[in-house]
Amino acid sequence: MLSVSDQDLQLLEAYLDDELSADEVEALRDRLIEEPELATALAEVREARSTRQKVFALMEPGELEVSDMVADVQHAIRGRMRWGGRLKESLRYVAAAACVTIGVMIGSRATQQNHPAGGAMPVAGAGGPTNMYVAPQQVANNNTAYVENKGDTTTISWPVVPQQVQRPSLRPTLPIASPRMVVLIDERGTPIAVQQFDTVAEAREFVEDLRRAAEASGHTILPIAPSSVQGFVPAATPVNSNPPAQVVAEQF
Amino acid sequence: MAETTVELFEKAVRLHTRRLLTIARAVVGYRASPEDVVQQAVMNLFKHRDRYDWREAGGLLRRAVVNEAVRLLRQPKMTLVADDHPGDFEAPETHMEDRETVVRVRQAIDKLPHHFKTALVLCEYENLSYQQIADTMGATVPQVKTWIFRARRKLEEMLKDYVEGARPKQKVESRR
Repeated sequence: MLSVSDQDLQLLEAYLDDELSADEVEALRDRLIEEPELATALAEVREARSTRQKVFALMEPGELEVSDMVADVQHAIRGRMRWGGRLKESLRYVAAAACVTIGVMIGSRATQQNHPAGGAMPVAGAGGPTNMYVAPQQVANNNTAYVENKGDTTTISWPVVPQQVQRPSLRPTLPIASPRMVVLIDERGTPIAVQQFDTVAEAREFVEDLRRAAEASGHTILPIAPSSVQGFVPAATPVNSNPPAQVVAEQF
Repeated sequence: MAETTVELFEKAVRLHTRRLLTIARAVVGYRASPEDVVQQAVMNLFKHRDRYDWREAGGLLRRAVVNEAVRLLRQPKMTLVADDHPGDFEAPETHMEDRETVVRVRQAIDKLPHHFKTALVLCEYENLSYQQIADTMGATVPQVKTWIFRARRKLEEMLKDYVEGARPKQKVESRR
């Protein structure tokens, strides 16, 4: 039975790994001539390595697998680019309401409802257009606002809206199986913009990206309690023959 | 016309996908999907694509895939999710002995600790230097040398009985 020291084994393996200096290689070659056991050990180490390399080579994917992978990545890239576009769109609304503290929440609805009168655009979908739904701005009778400055945040509070002024509520047209929505709302709980996503995870990621981008440009986005959001309350009874609204609202 | 960052990125992905999938497969074995590992790693880089030079992206992509594979393996309660099953591994059909050897060696590699098999695949498949492996894994060269040495010894140990049965000639033994 042959025996080789650990040190010699490491030397042989380093030689096969091409990690020896020129002098070390020359010294080893001299030894291999003088020590037949070492030469035999090298042959065995080389064979074991060759088998492992064969195994790794067999792990290589086929052409179809490679093409599928590349196609998946390209598809994900296109999705990401659309994501960037939707982020920019949301930031426009954040910037346009620069003096308002905006709340964000993630929720969903399961009923189909009508567009409100005037001012509504289609809701942006995961693969659809990037234009967003915007509820009409609520306006008090005399347009007087209260301004409060705290540090870097400026809050504008509208006076209580009289009964005869319709407070717009969020009633976008959504498919029955509605995906998750990110709703931008102002400090009174009025939705001003909506984006929808296929999953809560995507919606959360979008909110994080939006928050970072908004903060980078000096705006504040705060979480809002779902109960304070108008038009985002579970329906007690079905609005129409469709199943009752199932609002799953998360406080973000 | 100069290529955009996205075009260079896509080109780099196309060029390196085969090897990245192999590395991912070797590291995660049957515990995760190598495609998911590569896709996640690649898309993580895409988020910050403007930071990198995509003309020479092999090292960067490799590092990202290794990190993602190791991150996945560290998650608790990993279950077998890979598309191929230990029994489905495509071994060469030329000789029954070869086929069985390859299957056994792959199974043994899969049992290695993740940093051992990562160092081993980067050394013997990617043919990286110890320094390059250390850079990829965020380790030192002495650590890498130890991992590779121990990976090989562990494989010898695991395959000892099979090797002795298959080839009853004189065998190399390490003497401490």
